[in-house]
Amino acid sequence: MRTTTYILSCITAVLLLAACKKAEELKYQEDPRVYFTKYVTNPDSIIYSFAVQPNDVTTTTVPLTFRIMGTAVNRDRVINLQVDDSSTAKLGYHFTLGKLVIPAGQYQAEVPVTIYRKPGLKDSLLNAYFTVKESADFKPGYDDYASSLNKKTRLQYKITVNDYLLKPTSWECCIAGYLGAYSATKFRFVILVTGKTSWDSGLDRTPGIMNFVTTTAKNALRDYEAANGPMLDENGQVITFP
Amino acid sequence: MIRNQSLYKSLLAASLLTAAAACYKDKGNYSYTETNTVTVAISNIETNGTLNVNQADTLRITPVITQTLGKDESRFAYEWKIFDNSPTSSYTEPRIVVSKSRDLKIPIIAPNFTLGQRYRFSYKVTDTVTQITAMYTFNVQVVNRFATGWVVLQDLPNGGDFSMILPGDVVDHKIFAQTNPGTPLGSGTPVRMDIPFPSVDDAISSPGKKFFVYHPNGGIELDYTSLKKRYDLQTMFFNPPAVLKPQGISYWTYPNQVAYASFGTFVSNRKVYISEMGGYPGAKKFGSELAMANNSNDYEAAPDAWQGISWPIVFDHKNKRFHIVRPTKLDNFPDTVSTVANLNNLKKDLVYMDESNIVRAYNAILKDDAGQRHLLRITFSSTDYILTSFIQAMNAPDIEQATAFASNPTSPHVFYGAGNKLYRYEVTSNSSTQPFTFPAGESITHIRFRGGPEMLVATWNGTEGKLYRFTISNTGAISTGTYIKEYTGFGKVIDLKYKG
Repeated sequence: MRTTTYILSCITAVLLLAACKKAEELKYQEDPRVYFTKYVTNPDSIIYSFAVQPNDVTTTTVPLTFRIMGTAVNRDRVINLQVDDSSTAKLGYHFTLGKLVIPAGQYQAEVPVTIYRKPGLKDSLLNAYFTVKESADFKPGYDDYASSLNKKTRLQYKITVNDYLLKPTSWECCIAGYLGAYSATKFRFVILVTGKTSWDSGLDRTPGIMNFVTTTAKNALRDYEAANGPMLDENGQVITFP
Repeated sequence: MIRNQSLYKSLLAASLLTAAAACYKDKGNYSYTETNTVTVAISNIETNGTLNVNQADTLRITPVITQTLGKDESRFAYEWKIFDNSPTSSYTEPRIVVSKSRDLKIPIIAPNFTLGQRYRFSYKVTDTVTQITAMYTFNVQVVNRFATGWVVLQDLPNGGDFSMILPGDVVDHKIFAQTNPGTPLGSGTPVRMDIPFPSVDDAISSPGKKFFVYHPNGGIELDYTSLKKRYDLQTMFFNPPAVLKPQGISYWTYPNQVAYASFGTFVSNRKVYISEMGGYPGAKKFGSELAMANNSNDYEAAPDAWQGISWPIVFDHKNKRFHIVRPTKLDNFPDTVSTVANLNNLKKDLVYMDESNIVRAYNAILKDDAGQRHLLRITFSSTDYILTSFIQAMNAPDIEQATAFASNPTSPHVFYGAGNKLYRYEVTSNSSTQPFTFPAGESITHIRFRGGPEMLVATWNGTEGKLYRFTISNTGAISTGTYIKEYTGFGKVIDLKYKG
């Protein structure tokens, strides 16, 4: 009896000691993912026109902003970005991409896209469509719903480029009330006298800015008319402002 | 075993005795010792009330300490503790003991106190024998001694500066030089100053009231509290005009919105510039000069803009008419706004205009080509641009020579000064009286009202500027028949405004 008690006590002691072993922490191991950031000031696309730049400007750079899901790591990680077949802008000719990496220790990175002012842009509007694909380091991030603000998901981005004036998408909703009916001649004149080239963001069209743009354009038009007579647009219409 | 049973019996007996003792009825016949209750009061400051104290003044407080037993106060310990309790301050501002004396006497200066901040004071009295304490809490708002008062802009031998008539009839001179040592107010004789009524949140400077001073070729904004120069007025434009000759800056709120200005007008070199306010991001700056409805800029705006219904109106000296100031142009009035005067073509020049004693109604004194003065009453309805008005040739002696005007905001009168004579024109009866005459040799240069009861008149005798304060009755009469206070020792008064 005493022997049995002794043996059971030893087994219990051994089991108790075994329980003291440190267990591995239970941590969620997420898949590293990457996606395009999208904010009011950084929507799902960029429209760039060389037409508002002097002739000696032959290149420009626009950013693609990526953000990761998961934690940063201590090495650069590669992003796999696909230029979709539907793109009319050609990689290596109309544009080139910067180094597609999320640098070590970073959660976000801007990859520069260099756009070249090619002769064909004078009469063509070219698009480059990008889609995030899986790489050795990242799976594609999340694929949210398109909204009125962002027509594309967080895995897609579009760059549109030309070398002729493109009517801002916000003209009818947000600019016509200040500048009236659109014409390319009027738009070019407004850009020339105000120096304003950004129109698509709400921050580009605050009431104060648009009042300033409108009054500046009206005063310049008055000076033009005093020297040259009425200014006609490409349709033969006299340019006026409300 | 037997020993255990004895123990159990003993414990049981003890339990029964304890339970029985609980049935004993307490007679409550104790003897009490009265404690010394201490209370604190501070005259003129309610608990949690706010006391405005000028920066750099010494705050002196003698609390009233009341005791129920009248013990010697030498057994008390005192502590005055403060923390910054301003709306913009964090909850973790340090608590600072500023005094351990019974009475407080501390200078309101840095580092413990900052102009414009609000401090929570707690005064604690501890009876060191009983450890009973009494507390009293209140707030101290650190204000500038120049917070309120009449501001008198003057042309002085060594450049422009302004004085203030402070509460208590204290007069302080050359205030700009005091608050901005080494910085000139501007080049040349100052032209005018403006202290618009509404607060402004333009993201150019801190939200709040504005204070502008103009000189012939520019101007500055002063910090409303400290009266230090903030910036030159070019800062207020997206693209400053090549020639800046400020004449007047006005800010307006939409009807029934009084918190912050919704619209600003800047008249410079007789052209109008606007700034549209609102909750949108970025600085709300003034744009380019406005053109008339036909896009001509052949106009000459008067310095002031006046609140219309949604948008202000301005007078155009060149075309002898009013315009509606819209965000991108000076617009015409609809043809239906008046049956007695065509505001788009008055054919009379504006001599003076200000708010009348009726809400949304203005007194405008016009001059026709023959020199006859007319009073035009412009009254905006509360709902649209429909406007009712009357116009009458003024029966007002010497008004052709008048150099100063002021509409009484509480009675139907316009005071005007011609030479040393002060006249009062009654709009309703179209008649005038001359209630006061200043000493020979003095000419009236400015008349201003502060509310209805207080009227300040500035005169100039060629070497000295003087100010006279009158009290005006509800019926618009000079209460005592003469002024109640004379202020001397001023330079030539350029402008006179109340800062409040």
